[in-house]
Formats: sequence, structure tokens, C-alpha cells
Amino acid sequence: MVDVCIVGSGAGGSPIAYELANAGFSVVVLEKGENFTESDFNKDELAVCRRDMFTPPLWEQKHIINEYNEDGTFTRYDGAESGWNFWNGSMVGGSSNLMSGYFHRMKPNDFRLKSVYGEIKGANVVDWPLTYEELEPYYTKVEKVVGVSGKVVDHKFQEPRSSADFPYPPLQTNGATKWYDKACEALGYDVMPTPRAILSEDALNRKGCFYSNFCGSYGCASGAKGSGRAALLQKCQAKIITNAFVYRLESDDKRVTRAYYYTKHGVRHSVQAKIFVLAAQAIESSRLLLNSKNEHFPNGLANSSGEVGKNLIFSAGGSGSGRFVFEKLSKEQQEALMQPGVFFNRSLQDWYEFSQDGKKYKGGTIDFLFEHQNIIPRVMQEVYDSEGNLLWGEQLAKNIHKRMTTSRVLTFEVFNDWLPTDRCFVSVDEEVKDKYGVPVGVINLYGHPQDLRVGEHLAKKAVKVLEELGCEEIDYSISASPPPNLVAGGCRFGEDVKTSVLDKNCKAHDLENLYVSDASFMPTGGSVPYTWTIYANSFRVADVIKERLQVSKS
Amino acid sequence: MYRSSYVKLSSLQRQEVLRSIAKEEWGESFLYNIMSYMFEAMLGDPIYGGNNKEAGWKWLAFSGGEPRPKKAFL
Repeated sequence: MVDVCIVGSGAGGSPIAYELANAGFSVVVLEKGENFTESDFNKDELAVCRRDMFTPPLWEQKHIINEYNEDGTFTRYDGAESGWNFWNGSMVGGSSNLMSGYFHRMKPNDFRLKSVYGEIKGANVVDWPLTYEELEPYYTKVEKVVGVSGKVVDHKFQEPRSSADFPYPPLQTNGATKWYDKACEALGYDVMPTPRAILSEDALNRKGCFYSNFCGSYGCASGAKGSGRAALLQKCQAKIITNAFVYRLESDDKRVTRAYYYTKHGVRHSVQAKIFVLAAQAIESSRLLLNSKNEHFPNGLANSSGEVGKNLIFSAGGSGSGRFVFEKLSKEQQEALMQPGVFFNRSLQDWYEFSQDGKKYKGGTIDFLFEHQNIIPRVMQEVYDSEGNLLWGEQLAKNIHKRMTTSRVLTFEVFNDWLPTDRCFVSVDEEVKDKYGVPVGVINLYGHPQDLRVGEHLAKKAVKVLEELGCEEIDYSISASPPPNLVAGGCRFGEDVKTSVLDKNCKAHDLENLYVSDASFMPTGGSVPYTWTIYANSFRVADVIKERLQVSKS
Repeated sequence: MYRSSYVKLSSLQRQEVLRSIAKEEWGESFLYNIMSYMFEAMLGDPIYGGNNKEAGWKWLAFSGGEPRPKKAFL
């Protein structure tokens, strides 16, 4: 029997493996995907982005998606038929290999949404059982151990920090960021470099960024990106079993006893451990618990509250863009704009909280970045003319050439709270199964109307920057469509065993030896991408487990 | 043009065929898919046999991301 068995090797699982293996405990990590390392990663657009080489084929493994309609009905989508894909990266290190690494901390008020901003009709807003001050040392730890580069600048919503600045200097940026900084100054907005989980110089036995021009969606060939694999799993002796899909956790009335998994060829194996940690990503962790029901837990493992799968959240908001065109730029500016590789890296948090009609609202974060460099989607945007007719031949060739060589698109992303509601949750399908014969997860989708209002408010502020910059074709879209890579909730932590699945330490209320350390624990999400908080919380949970194992050893 | 092969048509005739197909929903989606595959071949990594000597990339002053693939995935 091993000390700890971890299901999933991404941002939720890897800190636990790293901390406990380095403290001398025996750790087994069960990972559904394969192992890729720096030397395997390349920028093959066809394989990585157009044929999704890092996620399971939908005809083998899919989700059922129920989208809520305004008349109270749900529309059911089969993931394989509709191509609606909620997989993010099945591989050692999980989707942290493929993230862009926009790293923002949650802010103190994010931990007490209900007390600060009050109840919201139709939303299950609660305070966390944890404060920012308790998590702060772990945010700092992630900066150092995983590696976060950036520069702290004072602004209205800068969260308190225990260290003055980031341990690694900011990444190089494109000359156009200077125009952005000037535009923000003119508008009275606070300029803020985006912190990134990317090393700007060689450190931690990893290479600094190569500025390959292809970051998000791709694996990092330099090791600069702080994936759970590069930063943590490659630096510990945890045993990682790849191609191991965990389909059931077995338990008695108090303890999880075994994790059962299938190999790639469908052979059944199991692992026994003193402590089990579930970190398969929010949707899949809830699915596994629901699929693990037994005589002691007839509604699903750790589910005496009936709360497993409930209050699933994504990140609300949307995106927008504007185009810099050569006609409005000097020769020098044109050259600066087209410089490849270096980042844009600018964020706005001026409206992390705002007032409207005398009421205080939680707002969010806006990140500015260049349009992704993938050439095929950029070219495919040009196949229609302004009236929506397909173009071909010489006219199409002329348009494409002009757009690709004499303009560049600046985009922005809005992140605001996806409010937890009764209508957004994970369940399992009673009939549809995956290639292993295991019932697939059902994603029930609903976005609260306030999410759209807040997103809209933020997007209008971002548009002002694009206007000030002289961009053309400015456009944005705020929607209730969920970003599949920004998902959390389903196993809320809380003090009350009737309304939450996990306790403050992310241990299941119902079981003595089961922890959930991915984003499932989050009752509300904050208005930032989740990864930094997942890492930080997982380091916190690792400390809890370490102490427990040390006590039982001595 | 009925029953004649597309590749044997004159340039003007081809345009006419394309315009008439594009008016139908199925036709538009067919042409869109053809173009999508065409640009994958033209702008994907040369390792897949298209984008001969990076001609597609050079035309658009684009350089593929580094490192480039050493073997074809597909």
C-alpha cells in the first residue's frame, strides 16, 4: 500500500505529488493521458490545434451537454455529434502544459462575495471558509516554485502581498505596448503588466522563454512555462502511471480503499493507498464520484449532502478585438508592430469592483494580447466579403496578403464571475457510455444574467482602449457560452456538511481519507483565470496531508 | 457545362459554377470545407507534403513556430 494515490496530474494534482514525494512519502499518480516532455513539443498547428492531438477523440470519449433555454427547457447536445469539446489536455501535467499562463491572484473580497456584495437572486453566492490571508503564503510559494514573472505596479485593486515583487522579471514585450500604455494614461486607466507563469530567464533548472510566438494551446519546448509537469512532476520521485483511466473509487463507510483504473488496452488494475487525492479536473472529478456510488454512498461517493456536481462554474465574460493597420502607422511603428515572438502582456483591473445606480458590483479583469499566431484560422477569417459572400481566386488572394502583411489584431479577454446557480451542474448519463463502458458526464449549462451585464460593462471599457489606439474593425462579444478551459466547482468546500462536499482542508466531509485538490472545491470563482489559485490551494492541501502523514508515522 | 469535368472548364465557367453552388446552403458549406482543407495543405508544416518549400508561409511573410515538428503526427 502506498501513502498517497493521486488521480490526475495537472495543476490540482502535481503540487501534492511534488510536496509529498519530496518529503519522503510514497506517491502514485494515475494519469489518463500520455507523457510528453520538452523534446516532444513542437508548434505543429495541424496536429496540435486542428486535429487536437492532446485531447481524446470525441467518438471515444465525450460529454452530453444540456443547455438551458429561456422557456425553462434544456436542449441536449451529444458532444461527438455537435463537436462540443470539454477536454483540455489529457497528458502528464494536464492542461497546464497548454495554458497561456495568465496568472492573477484572487483578491481578498473574492473570498467573501456574499458578505461584501450581498445575495444575488437566482445565484448561490457564499463566502469561502478560507481567507485571502490564509492562502497568500501559497500564492507566494507558486511564484517561486512554479515560476511567475511580472512586475507589481500599484493600482486601486492591487491585492496585499507578502513580498514586494515577483521573483522573476517581466517577459519582453512588443513595441506596441508603449502605445497601449500611452492610451491608458490618456484614459486615466492604470497600466498593469500581465503576470505570466513563464520564466523570463533560466531558473529552477529550466530554460527561460524562447519567444517562439506560439504559447497558448501548445506545449512549451523550452520548459519556461510553469506546467505541473515541467515545474513539479519532473522534480520529484512520485511514480506516474500513464494511460491509466480511473473509473471507480471503492470505499467502506469511512474510507476509500482502492482506485480502479483501465489501461489503454482496457485491462483493469487497482491501487491501494492510505490517502486518496482526486484531481481529475472539475467535471471529471464530480463524474468519478457520482460513478463510484456503493451501498454506503448510494447517491455517489462523498455525496451524502447531494451536493456533488452542483454549482459548476466557468469564467464569464467574452472577448473582443481591434486591428492596427499600416495606413495609420509610421514605417518604424509598422516594424515594431510586426515583430514576432515577444508578448503584449497588459491587463486592466480598474473595475474589479464598480458602482452602478448606487449599487456596488463585483467586476473583473481584462487581459490584452495579440491575436493567436496560428495562420490557418487567421486566413480562414478572410474567405467571406463584407456582405457575407464567399470569396475565391485573385480577390481572396489579394485580401489575405494585405491583411496578413500590413495589419495585426489586438484582442482582449474579459474575466468576470460565473455565478453559481442550481441550473449549472454535473451529472452522469444513464445510457451513454465512453469507450471504457463508463457512463459519461453530463454538463448542465446556465449563465446567470448578471454575468452578461458585468461582462458588457467591462468590454465597453476595453473598447475605449482600442479606440484610443486608433484600431479599426473594433468588435466584441460577451456571451453565456462557457470557456471549456476555465471550469471549477462541483465539490464546494464549506463548514456545513449539509451544503458542501469538502471541508476547509478539501477533505470530503463523508470520508476520512479522500481529498479533492483540483478546482472543484471553489464555491465562487473570482474574476481571474483559475490556475494560480488551483496551484496555491493544492500546495496548501499538500501541507495538511503532509502533517497528517508525519503524525501517523511518528 | 452539364456533365463536363470541372477541371476542363474555362476560368470564367468555373467562376460561374462556384457562384451558383455558393448560393445553396450545402454548396456554401462544401466550398468552405474545401477551402479549409486547401489552406491546411498550403499553410500547414511542409512535413505533411503541402506548403512546398514553405511557399505558403513565404507568400504571407510568416515563419512557422519553433521548434518545427520532426515527424508527421497525422
